[in-house]
This record gives sequence, C-alpha cells and structure tokens, in this order.
Amino acid sequence: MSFDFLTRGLELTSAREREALLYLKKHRILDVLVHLTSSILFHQPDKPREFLLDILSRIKIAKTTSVDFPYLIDDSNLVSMFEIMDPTNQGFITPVQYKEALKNLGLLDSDEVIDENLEVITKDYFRKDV
Amino acid sequence: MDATTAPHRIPVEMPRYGEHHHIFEMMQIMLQELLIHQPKEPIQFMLEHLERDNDMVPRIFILGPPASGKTTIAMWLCKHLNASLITAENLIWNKLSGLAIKALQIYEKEEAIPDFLLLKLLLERMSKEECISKGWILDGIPETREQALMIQTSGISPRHVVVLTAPDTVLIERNLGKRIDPSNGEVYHTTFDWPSEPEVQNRLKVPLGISEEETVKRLMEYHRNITRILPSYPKILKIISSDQPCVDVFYQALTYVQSQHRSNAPFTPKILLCGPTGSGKSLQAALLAQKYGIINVCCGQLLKECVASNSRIGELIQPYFQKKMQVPDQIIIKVLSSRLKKQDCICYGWVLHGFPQDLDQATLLNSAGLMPNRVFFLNVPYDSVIERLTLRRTDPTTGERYHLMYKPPPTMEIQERLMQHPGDTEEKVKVKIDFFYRNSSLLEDFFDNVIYVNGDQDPYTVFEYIESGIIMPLPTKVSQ
Repeated sequence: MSFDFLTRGLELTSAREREALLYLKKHRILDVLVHLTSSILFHQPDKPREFLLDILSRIKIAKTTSVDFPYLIDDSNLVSMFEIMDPTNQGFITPVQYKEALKNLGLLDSDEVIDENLEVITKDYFRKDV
Repeated sequence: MDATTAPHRIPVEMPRYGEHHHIFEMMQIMLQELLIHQPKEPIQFMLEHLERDNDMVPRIFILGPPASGKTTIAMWLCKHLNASLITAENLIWNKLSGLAIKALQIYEKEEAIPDFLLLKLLLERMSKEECISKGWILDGIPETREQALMIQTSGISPRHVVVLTAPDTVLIERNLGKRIDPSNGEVYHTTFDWPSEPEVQNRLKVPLGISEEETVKRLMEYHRNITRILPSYPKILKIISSDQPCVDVFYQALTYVQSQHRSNAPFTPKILLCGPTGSGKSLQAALLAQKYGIINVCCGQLLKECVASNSRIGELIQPYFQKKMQVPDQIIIKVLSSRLKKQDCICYGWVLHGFPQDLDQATLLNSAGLMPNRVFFLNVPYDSVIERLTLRRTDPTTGERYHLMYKPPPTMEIQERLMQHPGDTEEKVKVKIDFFYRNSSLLEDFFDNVIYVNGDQDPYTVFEYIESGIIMPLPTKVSQ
C-alpha cells in the first residue's frame, strides 16, 4: 500500500500535523501497521495481542541482524504467483504483467517506472526483485 | 488493495474475527499513541504499548461548579473502578516530589499556582506505574481554557468527560452544609450525606470558604471558564444534573464511564430480527433496507421466489408447498447461503427475518458461516399481536390492505367488501405464537449479546431503538 494512497484524504492545517505525517513516513509506520493488520486477519489467532507481540519482536530482531524479516507472502507464494502468470511455462513474463503483479502485492508506487527494455522477466529475477 | 481492481472475495471469517477482537480499535489506539509521542524507536514503543494492555483503563475528567459533588463522585468512581484519583490538592501535598514542595510553598503564600507548574506535576504523577496500569480520574482540573489546552498538547487526553451541573441557588445553599473529614478528605453534607458512624460525625470540620459571598465569587469564575473548556471535548462529554440524590448521579456517571464510544471500525451490518408473528419484523426490515441500503432477506419470500422462478431448487421446494408441509432445513439453508453470499449482500450487509425458528436451524446457520453480528428480539405482548393481526383486511378489488384500527378503509362501500386472510384468524395466530415461544428461549441462549426491543410501540420508535442497537458498540464486560 503506498503511503500517498493511504493518506490521500487528509487535509493538513498545522505544522504539528505535517510534522506527524513526516514522522510516519520516515519510520514507515503505516507499512508496519498494514503488515500487522493483514497478518492478524489472515491467521486469526486466539490471542491477538500475543501474536502481535511475536511479530513485532521478530521485526525488531530482524532490524538488528538484517536477516529474515517476517513476510506475509513468502518464497513459495511468489513461485506460485509467477506460475499463474506464466501458464504455458515459457520461463518468463512480460513487463506489463510484472507491473500488475507488483501493484497487486502493494509494492509499487504509482509513479515508479519499470525498465521497459527488459522484455522478458525470468522466475529468478522475479523472486529476487520482489 | 486498491479498491478499483476486481471485487475481492474476502472470506467471511475475517470481518467477524476483526469485530469480535476489536482489532481496528486496538490498531487505532496504537497509532494514536505513536503519533502523540513520536518515539525514535517505534518498534520498541509498540512492543511496550502492547504489553501494557491498558487501552480500556479509565481516563476520566470530572468537571463542575463548587458544591456540585465532584469530589464525592470522583472518590466513589475511584473505589469502584480501582483507578487513581488526582486532584489539585493531592498533587501539591505530595511530599515525595521536589516540584510539589515548590508548589506547596506558593500555595501557602495564598497565591495561585502557575499553570506550567501544575502541568509538570500532572505529568510527573501520570507517569507513575499505578496511573498507567490502572487509569486515572482527574477531579476539577482543568479549570481554565489555558489549562485545558496545555494538558491536551502535552498528550494527556481523557476518554470520558463528566460535567456536573445544578442551578446556582441550589449550589450556594448546598455549599453551606459542606463538611470535611480531615483524616481521609471525604466530603459530607449536613442534610444530604450525613455519615452514620458517630466517630466520623465528631471528626467533621467546617472547611474554609463556604460562605455565601465566597461561593458566589467562585461560581462566577466557574461559569466564565466552563463555557470555554467544554468545546475542547466534543464527542466524549456527558452533562449530568447533580440536583438529584448522590446515588443517582453516581450511577449515571458510572454507566456512562463504562460505556464505549462509537468506533470508526468498518462495519457491514448482518442483522437478525426475531420475534413472534405480528411483532413487526418485516416492517422494520423494510425500513432498514430503505434507509441504509441494507438488503432485506425474508426467508419465506425467498422460498416463494425460488418456486416461482422454476429453478432446480424451486422444483425441490414445490412439493412441500403443495402439501403445505414445512420445507426441510437443508434446502432452506442452501437457498439462504446462495442469497447471502451474493456480492450485494456482502457489500451492503443484510437483514434477515423469518429464519432461524429453532435451535437446529440456528446451528445450521452458524455452520454455514452466516452468523449475524446484531441480533434483535422484538417483544410484543400477546394481546397486541392479536389486535394487530386479526383486524387485518384486504380489499379484493383493488388489492389494498387495511387495518380496522390503524388504517381503516375510507368508505363504507370498501368496508363492506373487505375480506380477511384465512391465516389471520385468532386460532391460527395463537398456534404460530405458541410455536415461536416454545423455541425462543433456546434461540436467545444460542446467540450472545441479544438486544431486546419493546415492539409494542409505534414503528418509528421501534426503528430508532433498532438503529441505536446497530450503531452503538456491543456491550463488553468491564473487568473489575
């Protein structure tokens, strides 16, 4: 979910509000909250607070060690996504399909440009890039 | 996900889980705290916030003119809710804080305590463990708009604000009878609230500043300030008249403080209306559908539509209609699920009536994943139902429906040719009512948080009750 999409309706009047919005953007708080909410609605744990504590502590550890961020969509999901887009098993997908996939995953800001020169996008590139 | 892409089939368990565990409110409060404090390490802050789990602790301001009973109400609420009481006095008389000692010196010189010092004392007190984990009740602060704004900008905001009012003459008279117990600071009154134990009676002292002129001065000051403070708390305010017995004021304050405000959480209404025949279910469902765009699903109507459309399911149902037998539950649930899982019902919500009629049907509804999130039982006494149903008439020529008491036919000519539906005779209605009441207690136990509405009133009043039941959050148990 892009930050601008989520904050599209806000009318900011004061300096403190603008400051608060900058704070959110800098620390990517909205992305974290979206991730937490989607995980909790998907897994539906019996004890929501403990579940959230667990995810947050994993993110905290991941920040310090720089590995193993907990993701909602993991590697095997990505492979399946790729295979859905490539039914005839040619081994690659077009940039248009790639852009659509990134939009669906919420990773694409509407103004980012994908390198159109890359006519084919292979499975490995897809996995690594995402 | 972008709303403009193809409609998403969100599994129905997700919104149900979200509503049940108040996920939206939890996230909203966490985001609020993040924005107020803007910590440098947000992840750590969120971890601590979740561990504290103090979203629901009391955070109350009690405001009111002198002699309105603020201190009494505040103390009683504290004892009941197990929160900490904060007043200007107990902030100053705190021997453990350096700031408090300075404030005490100013107070003893009979000067007003500067606002910034008061704020610092407040912040210091609120950062203590007991205020964070058990909540706080602020008695008589803020007194001026400047104080209110300062408190707000420093990040302290209450969830409920209770304002006591009473006419000035009552207050002046009441203040003359005020007595204080010096050992614990409790306030008594010579006429209204006299303690029963004689030791307490002997201890009571007359406090300073209760003469008539003093009270008048303080009242004028109060009125000048309160009109500028109240607009700061638009949605969380409740004004209670304190010109009634203490206990009444207390109970009103307690119920208000334990209630939750309307939340911004996304909500798709899935309403179930239950009640004996003639209680007004179809009418209320039609009103809801008209006002809010919710889809009106009447079970009997749905089955008849299936038969009329000659679908495969309709052919299964038809023999039961012909033999005038009850259609089996399995078929009904199939028809219902396919209707309730259509895109318009998922999008706009639905209001169901005419099903379930007993416990087995309710269990089937649950296993089909179609549990409602608001259940209303319309209570109508037997005589009202008989009156409503047995006086129904139809005009065979125009098809217009009349009621001999509520909507009589305009001319004698029409009245002579009116006919009654054979199912509206008293015996048949009695059978249907008895059938409902045989199963109703089991149904009431099956659903939690059933809302009972008195259906014996005019339709628009009943409609307003149902509306408030849908809009207000369901009552949750407050842990004591």
